[in-house]
Amino acid sequence: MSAAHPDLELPFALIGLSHHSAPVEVRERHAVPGDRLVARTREIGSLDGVDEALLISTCNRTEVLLVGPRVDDALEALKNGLFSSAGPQHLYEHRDLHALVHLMRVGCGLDSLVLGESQILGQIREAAAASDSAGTLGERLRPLVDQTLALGKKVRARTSLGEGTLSVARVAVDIASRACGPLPSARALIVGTGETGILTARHLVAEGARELVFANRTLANAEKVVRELGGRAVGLDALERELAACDLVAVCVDGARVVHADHFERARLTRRDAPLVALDLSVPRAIDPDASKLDNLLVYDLDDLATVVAQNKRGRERATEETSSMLLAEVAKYLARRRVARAAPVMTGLSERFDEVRRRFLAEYGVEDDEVARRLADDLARRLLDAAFGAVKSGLREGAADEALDRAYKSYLEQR
Amino acid sequence: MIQLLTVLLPTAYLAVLLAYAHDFLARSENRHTRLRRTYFYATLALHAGLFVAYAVSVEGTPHLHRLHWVSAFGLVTGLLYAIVGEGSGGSRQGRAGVGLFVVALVFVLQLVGSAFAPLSVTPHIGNPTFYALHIGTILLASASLALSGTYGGLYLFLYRQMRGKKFGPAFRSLPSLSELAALTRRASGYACALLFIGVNGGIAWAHAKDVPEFSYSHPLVLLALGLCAHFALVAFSRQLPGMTPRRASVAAALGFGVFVGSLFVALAPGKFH
Repeated sequence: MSAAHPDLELPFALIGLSHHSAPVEVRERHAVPGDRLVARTREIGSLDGVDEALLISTCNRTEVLLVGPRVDDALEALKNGLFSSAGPQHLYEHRDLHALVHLMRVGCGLDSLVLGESQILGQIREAAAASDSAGTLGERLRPLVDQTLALGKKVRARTSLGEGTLSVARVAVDIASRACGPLPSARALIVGTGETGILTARHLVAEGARELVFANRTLANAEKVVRELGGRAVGLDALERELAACDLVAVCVDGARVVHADHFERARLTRRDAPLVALDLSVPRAIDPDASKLDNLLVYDLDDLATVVAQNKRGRERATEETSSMLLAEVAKYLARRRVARAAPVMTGLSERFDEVRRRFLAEYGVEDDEVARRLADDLARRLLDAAFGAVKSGLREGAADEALDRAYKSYLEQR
Repeated sequence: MIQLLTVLLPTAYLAVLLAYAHDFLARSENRHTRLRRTYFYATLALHAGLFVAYAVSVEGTPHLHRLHWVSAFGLVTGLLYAIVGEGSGGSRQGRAGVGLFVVALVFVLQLVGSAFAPLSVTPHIGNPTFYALHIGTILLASASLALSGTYGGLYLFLYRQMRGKKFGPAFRSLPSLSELAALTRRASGYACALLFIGVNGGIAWAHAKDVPEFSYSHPLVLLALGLCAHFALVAFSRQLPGMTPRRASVAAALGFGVFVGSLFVALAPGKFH
């Protein structure tokens, strides 16, 4: 049987699988549909040695958080039950502080497939509602879930976690949409049908670009891509004509400089809604650098896009650090609350003791019926008790040192 | 009441401006769109209340001092933006960005109005209906001009930022270039039409009142018609060869600049109204 962290009183344990540990077919087998969530949670809560349980099931993870005197037994039961068709390499377990940290990381979006996504908050909320209905959300998990949800909202409000993409192709598409508006109204020309060109085209298709035209030296290669992604195929001789008709051009070729400044002449003068956006995703550059000086034309090369990606990366690192600090602060707060809650019987006892002393004091001096003396004694007892409670609570709140929590967090990250 | 509103309005607009500035700089999840809009609409209501107070003080149509017109221009610009910009379609992302600059303009206009306009007004003598129609049309035209100039200026600003490969708050918080170009053209079209109606209506009114100096040869009338033609070019820039959206935006911003300059001339002591 595992021993709980001193502040937690009872052991916490978390078992689950996610996109980090299991492929989609394994995750699919273990996903719990929404209408079965309450029943499954109730089953888990009824396991021997479990006082409280929370079941989170999304397309990317299925996790169970347990609190109870014999969580080890319950974990074994889950491995043979809910997670029976997952291999040991697909499952992970966390105990006590690590379980708390994990839940909060999940709530912040630090563990998500898309860093910082906020859908997980709604999914945790649903899991909590199911636990509540199943009667498995008690005095330990309820405040933890509330804090996790509050932390998740705070992180998204105060940090830039999740903002800024690290994909060059995605950055390119974002820049294009700021010039020519929503992509479903945009026509895109892709010059070159290599890996980069196809990746860029896929992003554009995903964003719903209105029309794709593929231009390539070898028309057959362009037609092959059109069969897969749709659109039209043209040869390089049609470049000037197609440039005049598109909103965005992505040039992804090897070796040659295929787009010259004069190719853009007709295009930039006929464009009335927005400048033409030209993305040079080739190494070496395939668009004539002089083209960037032309009016009504915006040219970006890989260096420009890489600068944006580097900015986004720095922003994410800062946001991740900031989020981790906020998370550790919340864990410390939770532990402090548990300490105060554990001290509640002591404080109730103290209150009763003070009351007894007050009554004996009044009786000793024979002034139980004296209104003034009674009020004086009541007031004094209450103020002394408030001072005592204040001192006790403040001492309890300063519990585990920051360094200890930092160490626990680092060891959690190493385990993952 | 007039004194209270005159003092309160610049502060209220400043609070609205700060709300828009916050949303301009904030990430999309942190924008308080509803709160910001509520502040804005409430301040516009107070501003309209000021003119109601003027009317109540003379128990009829007030004759406004030239600096009251600056305040009225601000009010109508704010109202037009509230209906067309904040209240209707277009990308949500862009509203914080555009709104910041529109509210800044309205704030400056009201600051001037509150600082220098007299607290009392006199009753208007003459046909109040025609007066209101003419002035109302000119004010709406001015507000459309202001919006056209603002959208045009923002197009140029964002274009410069993107050309300089800067992807900061302007990139995040302004509408796309194509949207700004479309908004510039649309506002210019309304400005042109309203200015045309307002100027011709004013000439007809002046003739009815036998005031011969307000004719088509009056410098300010010629300027107004010139602006009308200028903004017509911006409105139809899409159909004009060689008129790129950047050139149309420059034209809109310059046209607004000329308009503001002409306001100073028109509102100088002893001139026009």
